[in-house]
Amino acid sequence: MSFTSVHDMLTPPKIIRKQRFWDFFDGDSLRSWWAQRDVAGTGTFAMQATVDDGFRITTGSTSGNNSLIDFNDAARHYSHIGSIFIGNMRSTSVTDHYTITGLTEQGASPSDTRYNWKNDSTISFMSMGTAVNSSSTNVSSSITPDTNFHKVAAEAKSASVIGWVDDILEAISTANLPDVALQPIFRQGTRSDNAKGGRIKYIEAYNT
Amino acid sequence: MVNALVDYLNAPGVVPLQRVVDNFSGDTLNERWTYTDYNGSNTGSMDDAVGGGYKIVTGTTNGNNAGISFNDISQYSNTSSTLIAVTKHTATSSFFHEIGFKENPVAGGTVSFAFAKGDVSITSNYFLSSNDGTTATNTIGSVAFTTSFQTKEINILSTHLTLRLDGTLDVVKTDRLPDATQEPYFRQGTRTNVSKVGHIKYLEAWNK
Repeated sequence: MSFTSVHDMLTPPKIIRKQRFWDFFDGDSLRSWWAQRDVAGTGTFAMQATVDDGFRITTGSTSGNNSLIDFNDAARHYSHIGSIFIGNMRSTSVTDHYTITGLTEQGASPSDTRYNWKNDSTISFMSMGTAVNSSSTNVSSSITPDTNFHKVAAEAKSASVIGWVDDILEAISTANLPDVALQPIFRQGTRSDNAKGGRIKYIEAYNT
Repeated sequence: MVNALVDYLNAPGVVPLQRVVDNFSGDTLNERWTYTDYNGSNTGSMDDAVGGGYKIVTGTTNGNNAGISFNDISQYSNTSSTLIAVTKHTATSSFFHEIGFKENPVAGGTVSFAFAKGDVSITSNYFLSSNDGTTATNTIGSVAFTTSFQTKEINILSTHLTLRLDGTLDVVKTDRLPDATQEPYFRQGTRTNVSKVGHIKYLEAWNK
């Protein structure tokens, strides 16, 4: 089956298309629609010159260092009560680190207002987080953290956030739901005095 | 088996033609676009609001206007191309708003074009405006100005132009068809001494 346009592929007839974003993290450099930010320490940001490994963030080598890409808190186009986020991420380690992707209000304030998926060495399983004004909830999945890519997804509705890992429903949160407009984020942090890496090779977000 | 984007957009055996898709989401406008102040000092930036896309805010002097285009990279046919965009203007008085194809918009002067337009100085309905490189004419449609996002589809054929608004055919135009290759183009202007705002959150153009 073929479509006339990407527009028609993703938008039913007579429906006005809502805001959508995607990035394949390919090419020579990160697209300018992302802001690269060091929250603590100095990280490195680079496209991976290897097959199927997307874009990487490597943290500085001091415990607590973390870096991210987001829309610089300048274009929060996604609704906290009607949006979907999809990411394809991996961590290069399962110890003393965290890797996060999702939608957030302020990229540099990780506990603020958001919904996301993360690998966090302080939690035994991949988990979906929701947060509002620094009050947060983590819902663990059944997925033991590893260094493989995982397709993570979540949908924010008015009374819940529902999350999937590799297309399997893994989490539902009804507490501490975000209450403001959001932007995409990918973040990597270290919890030891060793640099830690994360990879992202696809992000898509859209309002529903 | 269809498993690539190109296969969803092209029937088997058909060689894909030029296409652009922009979601207008992110920290900055994608580098494929050139922003131009055509009159006065205006601003173009991502809107920090749910579903806001990219916005142009005009200056506060009658006639001020600005736009975005491909800066004389004209990749779209003047006899067989289509453009779909989702745009809005935030006022229905003393404004003009153009979305569609134009030949080298940055150069100014009399050039060919085919775009949808709202212009309170001409009528209170959207219309299809075109220029064959010599003379511009308008064919007025049946849809009154709205401040809501609207899907505008401009179709260029060798014998006529069409304008669809929110999926419904509204205008067929047979005179003054563009005589040179075209590029995507969006412009917002004011016809009073008050700033006027235009938004765009999707654009797709392709040759057929």
